[in-house]
Amino acid sequence: MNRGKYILRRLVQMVPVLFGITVIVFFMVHLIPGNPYAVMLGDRATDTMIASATHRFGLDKPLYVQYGYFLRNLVELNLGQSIKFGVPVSSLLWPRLQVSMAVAVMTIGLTIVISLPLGILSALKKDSALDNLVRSALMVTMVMPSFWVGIMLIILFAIRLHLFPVAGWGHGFGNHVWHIFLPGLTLALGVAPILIRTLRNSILESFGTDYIKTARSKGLEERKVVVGHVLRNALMPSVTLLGITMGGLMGGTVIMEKVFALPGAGALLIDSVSARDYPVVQAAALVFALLVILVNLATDIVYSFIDPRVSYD
Amino acid sequence: MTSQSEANNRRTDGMAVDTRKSETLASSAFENRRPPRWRRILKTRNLVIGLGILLLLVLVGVFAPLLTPYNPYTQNYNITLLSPQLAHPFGTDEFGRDILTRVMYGARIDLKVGVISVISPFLIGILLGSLAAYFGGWVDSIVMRVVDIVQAFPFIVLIIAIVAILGPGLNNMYIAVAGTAWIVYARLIRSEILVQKQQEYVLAARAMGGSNWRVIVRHLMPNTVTACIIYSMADIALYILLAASLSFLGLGAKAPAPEWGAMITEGQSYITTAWWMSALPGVAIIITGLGLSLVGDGLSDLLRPRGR
Repeated sequence: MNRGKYILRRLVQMVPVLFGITVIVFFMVHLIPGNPYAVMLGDRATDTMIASATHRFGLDKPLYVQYGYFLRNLVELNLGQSIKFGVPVSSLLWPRLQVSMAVAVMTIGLTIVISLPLGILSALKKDSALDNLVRSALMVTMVMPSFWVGIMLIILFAIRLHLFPVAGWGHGFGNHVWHIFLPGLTLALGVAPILIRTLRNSILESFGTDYIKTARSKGLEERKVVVGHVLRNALMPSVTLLGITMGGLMGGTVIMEKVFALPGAGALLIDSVSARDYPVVQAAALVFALLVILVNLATDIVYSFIDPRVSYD
Repeated sequence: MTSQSEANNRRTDGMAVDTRKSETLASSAFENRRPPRWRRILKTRNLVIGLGILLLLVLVGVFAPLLTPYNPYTQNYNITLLSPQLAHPFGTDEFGRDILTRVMYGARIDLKVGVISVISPFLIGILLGSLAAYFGGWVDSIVMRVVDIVQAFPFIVLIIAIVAILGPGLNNMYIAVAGTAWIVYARLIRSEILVQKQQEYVLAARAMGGSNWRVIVRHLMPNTVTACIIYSMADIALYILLAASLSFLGLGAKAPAPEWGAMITEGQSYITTAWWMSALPGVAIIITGLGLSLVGDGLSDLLRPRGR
């Protein structure tokens, strides 16, 4: 099978998953006991208001018809109307999604900056004091609640040292970067341990392979062996891991946006939850899931380009 | 450069030693089947330390009323926001409650939440995963497609959405976790059973007329459940973090409850004046998480010595 067919097959495989996601997101709201619009409109809603909303949103139709409407709207990229703000959900979601993406990108960048040197050093100096220190530190950072880390970083870097803003998103590109540094760092501290561990293991593993022995036996300088042979191959699993992490980060940003008061899609999700603005909850959950799928697909495709050993079966 | 070529030499030495070692191991296999006792203890050092930490936390939770003179709920406006000092080692909060006392009582809530949360995903995942692996075909397809779909959502987003719909509170978190977190266990046990079901002991059990149920429960599960048990330790830590995060988002434990996450959240309003309110409950979560990961690592060393 060639690469084109492989990509095509991955796309086809996505169809049932996409379908399943829409089913889950649809029934999420429709499994609420009673009339969701009565719940959404709150105590002050009159029977006529509820009846008109019910009719307007097609809630008096059978479930499968409603689901059909839901799918049709999705195809038309219509994510519905926010109950709280009275505007289309997509106009709320899109600008906020950019904030979340920016945080995710910052996180990935900082994760790489932290993990690459630490992972490589701790593998090259296996069982040294540094290696042990890194590995024990990782055990701790793995179990730290991210919102707690965020609060601690705010206390240290923003309140005590005045190096970064306490919260917010700021204005202009440079200012945005300055504002999302701490949120990104917080999330990176949670992600880096996994990457460092993977990197360390794959470097140690590739030291034992035949091609490294060959490289050494032909008298190649050790530096060239490490950079040109060991690292090139050991970085592969880390690329996949970064892809998966990027998908997971879409969820991780939810909490960070609340800690650092960022106007992101995750914060919108939480606010809509407390406001019982279900169309927004639905749309946000759907978009987050789509992003995860797309990132995973992109990872697989990138991987098929950088690793010639990938078989397309 | 020198150190690297030294490392290189050590590697070649190491390989030479390895071959010799495997010969000696083979010849001495009958002499001592069990490694010497001190090595077994060393190997399970993580387990011992981890269990020690967890036992301590359980004892602190259980005997909290005897260990502290304060009540976790009683407010005292004469001593609000005191910094850590002898009478209040962790300081006091905005209502004058002793934070150490609340952290100790919090052990009851958080440990319970972690353990309760893990039970249903563990059981559901093992059941569905083994059925999928054992029967294959359409059973496997259905289970694995559901796994794919649930996996597509970021975990926290799905939990938040479900809790949002069921209503805030820890009980609804248990339901949300049961409905979503089982996929990890299902995948773990499925991959183990796919390997094991071709083994001779399974074929023998089936040839002897063992029912499918008997083969799965009596033969396959005991040989495959280890990975899930090891993973469940990390999972308990994850649920404690999740419960804390939900409290932070206002979807978890309710206000006066001394849940660690809720305490961190309360402290967030006072970060400029009272850092200890958020900082110290977080340390409790970290210690618990460390205990659990040590137990997980220890179990992994003890139960699957070749798994490294």
